[in-house]
Amino acid sequence: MMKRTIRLTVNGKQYVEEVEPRMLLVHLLRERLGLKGTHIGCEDTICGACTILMNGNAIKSCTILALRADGANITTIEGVAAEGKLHPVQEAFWEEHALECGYCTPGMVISAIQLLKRNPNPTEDDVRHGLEGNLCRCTGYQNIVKAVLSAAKKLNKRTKSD
Amino acid sequence: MRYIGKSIKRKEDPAFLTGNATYINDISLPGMLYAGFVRSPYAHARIIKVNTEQAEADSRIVAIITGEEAASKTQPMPVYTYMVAKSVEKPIRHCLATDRVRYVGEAVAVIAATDMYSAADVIDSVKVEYEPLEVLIDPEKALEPGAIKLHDNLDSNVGMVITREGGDVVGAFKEADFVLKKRFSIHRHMGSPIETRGIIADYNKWSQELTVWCSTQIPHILGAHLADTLQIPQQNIHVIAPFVGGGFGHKLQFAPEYVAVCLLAMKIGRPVKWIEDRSESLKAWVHAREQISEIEVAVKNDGTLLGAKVKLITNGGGYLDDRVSGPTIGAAIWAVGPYKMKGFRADMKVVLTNKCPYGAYRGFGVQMGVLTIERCVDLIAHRLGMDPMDVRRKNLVTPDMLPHRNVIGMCFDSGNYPKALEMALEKAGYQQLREEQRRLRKQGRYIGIGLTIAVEAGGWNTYTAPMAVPFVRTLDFANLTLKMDISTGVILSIGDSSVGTGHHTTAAQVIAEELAIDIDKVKVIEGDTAISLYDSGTRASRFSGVVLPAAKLGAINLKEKIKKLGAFLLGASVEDVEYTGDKVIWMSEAGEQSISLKDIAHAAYAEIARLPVGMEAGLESRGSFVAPNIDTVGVTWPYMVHLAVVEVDVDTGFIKFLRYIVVDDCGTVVNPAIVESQIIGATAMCIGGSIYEELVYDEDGQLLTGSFVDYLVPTALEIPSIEVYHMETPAPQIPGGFKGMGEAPNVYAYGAIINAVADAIEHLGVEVTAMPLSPPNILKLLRGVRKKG
Repeated sequence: MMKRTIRLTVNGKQYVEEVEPRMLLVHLLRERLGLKGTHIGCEDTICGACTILMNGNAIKSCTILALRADGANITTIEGVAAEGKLHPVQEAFWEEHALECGYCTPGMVISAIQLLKRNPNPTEDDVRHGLEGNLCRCTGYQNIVKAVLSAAKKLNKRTKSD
Repeated sequence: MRYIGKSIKRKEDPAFLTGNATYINDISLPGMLYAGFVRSPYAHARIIKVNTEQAEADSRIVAIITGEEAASKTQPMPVYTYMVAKSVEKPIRHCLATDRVRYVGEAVAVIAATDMYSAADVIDSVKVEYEPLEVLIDPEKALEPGAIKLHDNLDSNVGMVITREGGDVVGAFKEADFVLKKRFSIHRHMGSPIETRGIIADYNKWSQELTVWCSTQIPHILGAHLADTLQIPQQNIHVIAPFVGGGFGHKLQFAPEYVAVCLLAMKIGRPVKWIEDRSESLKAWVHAREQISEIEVAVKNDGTLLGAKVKLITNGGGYLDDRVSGPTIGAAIWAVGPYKMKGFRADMKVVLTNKCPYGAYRGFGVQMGVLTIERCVDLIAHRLGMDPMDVRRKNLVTPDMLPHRNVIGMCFDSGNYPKALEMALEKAGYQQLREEQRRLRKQGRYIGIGLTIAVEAGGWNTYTAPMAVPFVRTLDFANLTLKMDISTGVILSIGDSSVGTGHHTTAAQVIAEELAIDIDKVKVIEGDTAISLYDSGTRASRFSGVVLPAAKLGAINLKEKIKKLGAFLLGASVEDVEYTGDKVIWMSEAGEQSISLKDIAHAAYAEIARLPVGMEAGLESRGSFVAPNIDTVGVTWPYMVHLAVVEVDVDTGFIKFLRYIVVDDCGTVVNPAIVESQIIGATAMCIGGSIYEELVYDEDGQLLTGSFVDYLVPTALEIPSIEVYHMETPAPQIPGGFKGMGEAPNVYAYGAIINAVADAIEHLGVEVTAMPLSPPNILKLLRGVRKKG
């Protein structure tokens, strides 16, 4: 199969990669770039474990071809904690016990980051709607919702003090 | 208490939160190949021919193994018969099908390919010729005379027959004023953790060592089964479980795929990795819950539950999974409930059909038993014109009776079941809810209140060893090791797995508390058979009630060693010193003398000549705990009450949760936040299982719900807020007083929801006896009434 060259930025680092047209973005990230934090849980775009930020939008990397990421700016979970310090969403998840096995967590964190960017003051209902694309089998979502609401407060405090 | 009872932030979390935790699919080895399975598209068929010619010519395929080769090189897959009352001929199964396939998705051949994409490309080049056979999916049809027999070596499609009886059943039914007879069914569904199965096998021909990385809950038992099936000495097998992305009992499976992947590695001499697809997972992993329970309850007109008889059928699928007997028994004997019955009998059958084999899933069948008796309690109350809560009050085992051996042999240890019931009713505002219900009914709105109360097992005295000797009673136990190094850091090594339930934090809390040291000085490692003592794994809700006591005892042993050495180095006798966590202190005649923990550790490792003759060098200890020899079933007995308040929309069939209340008592709680998260997560799982999730087969045995598009795992929108209230009654026979509770919350919601829905709409003339309570099913029930009316 003919390979094509793509250029992309992932977590602030630039990459030039040769890919088969059918290669999924999630496989490029995990197998080629060694970024194992993005997980695979299904083949149908339902579970959300593979969620990353591409050009600022949360997308499911299992349903996007790597070719589509040519020229894109991508953030995976590995790029969320800036310089060794946890992002407020990550901090909130930790404080609120919003994870158990951790497998859905990277996708949840990324979805939560987008949710709060678009809606800095969500209600509980807004949060549940916003996380509809991320399945969790362990926690029953309650602490995840609490964590997102807590993160909203943390982020708003930060913006206020800036 | 510095740590016990505190919701310490989990030590595991920073790695999970930043994508730096290692799961099975994150592991790569040099030269690694990728396995893919050729699976049957038929539910039932003879295999006429497996043609590998085209595949063998493909350079992307490095090796192929078919059923014939597998059967010649391996022992049959094990079937656990410990709990079975009658010895039966077992269906024989090798890791790959040989002459016949018995469920859609059954593995027929396995290939190793050079890379992941090629494995998917080439799988279809293995050509299998099938002769389709008649398909049986209904267990009751499979029992009819003349039904096609799935296994030639069995007399029928009955895979297992189990009987349990206790007390005076005949007397109970003789004394009855009436007998309530009902039939309930729960549908097929499964746990589907977000991480599917995965394994990497690597075999060294010359040292004859097999190394296996696997997303498993049971590293030691997996190694033992592999040894037996592959005929490799067990001491040559090293199993490593990385972080497991959810297990829920499914990763207890000794999967035929694991054996096949190991065979590939042994044949090729290169590591082979297999990561399961979600669609493979939904059709060919393990399924669960599909059972039918027919119950007769002997009742007196004053509401006394005298006894019960249960006939239970488990739809076992095409083969007997290693762990199908447990849920079969659990589903039946838990129909005694937390009640003072005087006689009980259960007749259980595992029936074979052309569906995926039925395996372990959190709760282990107990949810069916709870649903059965709790639904009957509500029906009995209606018949007698009593409030269902009064029937419960009348029959609950009371605190003055504890410890109490119930009629079927479960030995409830401690607690206050009536108090838990009252707490749930009080938090719900039960009387106000009844008034609200009456008021809303006049407006044509239907709300219902459903409650379940039950005592669950935390730790099971079964399945604790890989190969069970039939009919011999055993007990659960845990052995583990503790090591304090020269810098006074402590490592606790346990042979179970990390599946997300916070072991690394909880165990560290127990150790840190006992040793009076900072929790950051304690590291917990799990999952590696080479560096741990035998442990039967993360399962059966045994971590808190069996493993933590061993950890506590191990810490006590280590503390004694530290004290002994500290005393010796001070020139004191051990009775005269005190251990404070950072020193050993002696109030001598000359005043206070002390030696720091740091100096004691240094002496233990580097100043051995100062140690008394006969004292071990180093600071290591073992922790060992064996379950009390009381019970044939459980080790500890946590209990809960679940109360669901729902509104049923009779136009759409949708169920809305108005409130969901849990009262729980799992003994001494180490980390309340971890426990509460478990309770909410398990309840959510059951809400999914009661309403949304269903594994649907058509008449040809084809799975129609083959992806998450159709198999509806609940999202954040489907799960309500769950209120949790706590009681804490320590377990009397367990060091630390902990009770296991990983499964307990998973057995109540089914019954609470069916009772709530029935309470909402049965007055309209429907009878609610089957799950799932999906919107289409509720509409069907209501339509049936409209037709009659």
